[in-house]
Amino acid sequence: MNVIKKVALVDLLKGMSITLKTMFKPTVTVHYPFEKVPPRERFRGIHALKLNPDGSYRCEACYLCAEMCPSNVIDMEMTEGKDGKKELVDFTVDLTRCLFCGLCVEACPRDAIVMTDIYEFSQYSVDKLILHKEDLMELGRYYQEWERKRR
Amino acid sequence: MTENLLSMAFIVGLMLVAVPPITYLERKVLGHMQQRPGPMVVGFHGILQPLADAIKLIFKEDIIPKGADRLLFMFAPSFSVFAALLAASVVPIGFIQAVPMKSALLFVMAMSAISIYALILAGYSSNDKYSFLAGMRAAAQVLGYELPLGFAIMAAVILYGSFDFNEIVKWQSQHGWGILYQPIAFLLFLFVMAAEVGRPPFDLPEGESELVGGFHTEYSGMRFAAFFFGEYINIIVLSLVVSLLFLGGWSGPLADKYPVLGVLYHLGKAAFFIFLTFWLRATFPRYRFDQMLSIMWKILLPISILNLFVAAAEALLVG
Repeated sequence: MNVIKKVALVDLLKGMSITLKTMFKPTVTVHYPFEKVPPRERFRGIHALKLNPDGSYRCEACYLCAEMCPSNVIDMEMTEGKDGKKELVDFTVDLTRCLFCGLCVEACPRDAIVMTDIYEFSQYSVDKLILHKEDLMELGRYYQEWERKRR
Repeated sequence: MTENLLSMAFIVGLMLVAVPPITYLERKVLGHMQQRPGPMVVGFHGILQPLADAIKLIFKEDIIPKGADRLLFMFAPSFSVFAALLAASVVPIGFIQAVPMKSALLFVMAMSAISIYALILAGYSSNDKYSFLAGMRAAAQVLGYELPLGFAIMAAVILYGSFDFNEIVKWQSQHGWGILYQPIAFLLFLFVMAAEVGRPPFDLPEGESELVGGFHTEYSGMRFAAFFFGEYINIIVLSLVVSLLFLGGWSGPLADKYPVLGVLYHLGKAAFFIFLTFWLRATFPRYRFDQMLSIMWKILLPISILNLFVAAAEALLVG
């Protein structure tokens, strides 16, 4: 039986029939730069800082996210404001180290730091990958727009 | 004389012009066999991809590695094209034959065997251990496949009683296609053809998964492209030869009245075998080196020798 199989090249012909059949199947390629797969709803992209409706920061510089972060991505600066409250001076997210685990989002008691669905953030220089307060707030506006649309 | 020159120009032109579309078709077929579309960006469905490749290759820096044997290094790629075109020159396409020759089949086999020297020389002169290994593999491969190939062709020659392609086609138009008489020689030839042109599953000299790029590791630019010209011209020539030997060449309905139709028949038959090389490449993984040699020597060689007796018997019976 085995000899007959070998002589008649059964296995080889089987393989060839599979490739021939596959040739007439539709392709599964997504032509990436021209067409994109929308990310899933809970996709963890780059960070953003949400704002209150009156435009003030939601973040109150409690350092919980920085504490939680396993790769030391988040750093922030704060001062005492006029009314004695903490006030955020700068908030940096170093994307070169971030592993997008989302622990900072979970740690935040005020739901201030969130993750957007942006995954295309390549830059030509490393220092552009360190996001500051302004960038994060810009992203926060984008996130809140997206959140509103989803509702 | 002018006829010969025109045929020569036609065949050389056809071989050189056909190579870029064939590389495109190969990538397309290979892609679709893996459920992906292949080149898609340059032009409609990537139709201009070969042109883009050519432009890229022309503008690439031409590098000759330190310690390489400069003369042989520069000679090897052109030798690959040269040997392939020499083989093409004696192969008739329909009524078009550049060099009419009584022993054309023998000449084709000699030239396509010589084209493996391009790989050996490239491997030897590159001053690179991977290229060197590839050259050794090419040398061993030629020892492996030449015997079964020679015997498979001899079986056909015994049957037709001639080395001349015109005689072979005439015999087949009288008695029927050669594949009916010699299916074993046909299969052997197909098998060995893949080894002869260094295509998967016998692309050991190239072996990109274990030898970087094999013999063309150190080549860049148009020298790199020349190897592929040689390889693809060899594929075309051997496809033409298979269809001449076993599928009746240019014979077919109405081919006697309209010779142009014969050319189309012949090219169509050859196109199937060119497609077959793509198909084999998409289907089979590369044989290991010792597997390749044991297939060639322990299986194909005895079969091909026994097949000689079958051919002799058939030659006596059919006459």
